[in-house]
Amino acid sequence: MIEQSLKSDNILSQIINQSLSEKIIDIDEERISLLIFKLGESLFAFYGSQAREILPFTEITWIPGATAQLPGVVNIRGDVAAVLELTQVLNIHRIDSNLSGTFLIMVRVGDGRTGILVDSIVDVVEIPVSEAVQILPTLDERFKQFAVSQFAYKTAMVTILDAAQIIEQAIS
Amino acid sequence: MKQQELQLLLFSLGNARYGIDIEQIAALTAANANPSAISLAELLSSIAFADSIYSKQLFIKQNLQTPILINEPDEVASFSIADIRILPDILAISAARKGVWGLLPQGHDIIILLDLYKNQRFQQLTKMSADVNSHKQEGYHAQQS
Repeated sequence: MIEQSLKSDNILSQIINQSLSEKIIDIDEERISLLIFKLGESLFAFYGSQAREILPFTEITWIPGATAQLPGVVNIRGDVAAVLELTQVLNIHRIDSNLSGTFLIMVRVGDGRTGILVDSIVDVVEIPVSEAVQILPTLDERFKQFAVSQFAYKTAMVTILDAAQIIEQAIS
Repeated sequence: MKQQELQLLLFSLGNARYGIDIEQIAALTAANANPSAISLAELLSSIAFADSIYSKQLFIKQNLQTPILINEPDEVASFSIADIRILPDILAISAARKGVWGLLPQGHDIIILLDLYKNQRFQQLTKMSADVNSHKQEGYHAQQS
């Protein structure tokens, strides 16, 4: 007697195969690690490869030659790093002028370490590369210069910024 | 021979602490109404402290005609060269123009190391003093002959 496979088994098998192939796609697709932070009312992210450490606000030492964008330096475990005030670079109004609740994202570009001041840390996520889309034409003009791409996070769009470009701009 | 230590005169301006190599200092006296004196705040373009009242004046060997007004010094202390940190690249150019050449982390604080010979404003004043002296000498020689 020829055994005929049940239709339900066929369907189940089909579903399992489909799910396996989707898993394979997921595994194969390159993922990027991102650190999401908030500045004013907007959400931004740095690549995990650029953001090395997150520190709670540390007292900033003003040094001669400091500017609004580069307000000084911080002492981190006996080492010194410059501080970059991202609200000034992106021309964002900080809601609370008290900096004590802010965070420093330590970024390494070249040989230098810079602490980028942000309002709050939102999340650390890993997304497939395909989820990072080209920047939308509606993106605020102030951010376009430093924006690499955007991705959806919960109900909002997050703009991925290039930390190296921001630092170069601050130097110039 | 490699230098292992540096002796610094330490003083404060606002919340910041500064250190100057004592080898640059010719004298430290009480501040008087010297019209050619310049305040440290002015040399560093630190507008926030432009109206500070200074108790001392510092004479730098390179330019004795232009004393620098500072607050009461905290102390003279020795520091290991190994503890000095270079300026972060991102701030190096602008800070160097003000004479900042290094940073010395101390506990949670940072001492800002100043080389007044590298301060652009002080360099200008030194050049002006040298020009005035040279004109005076030319006048003296002309009178003599």
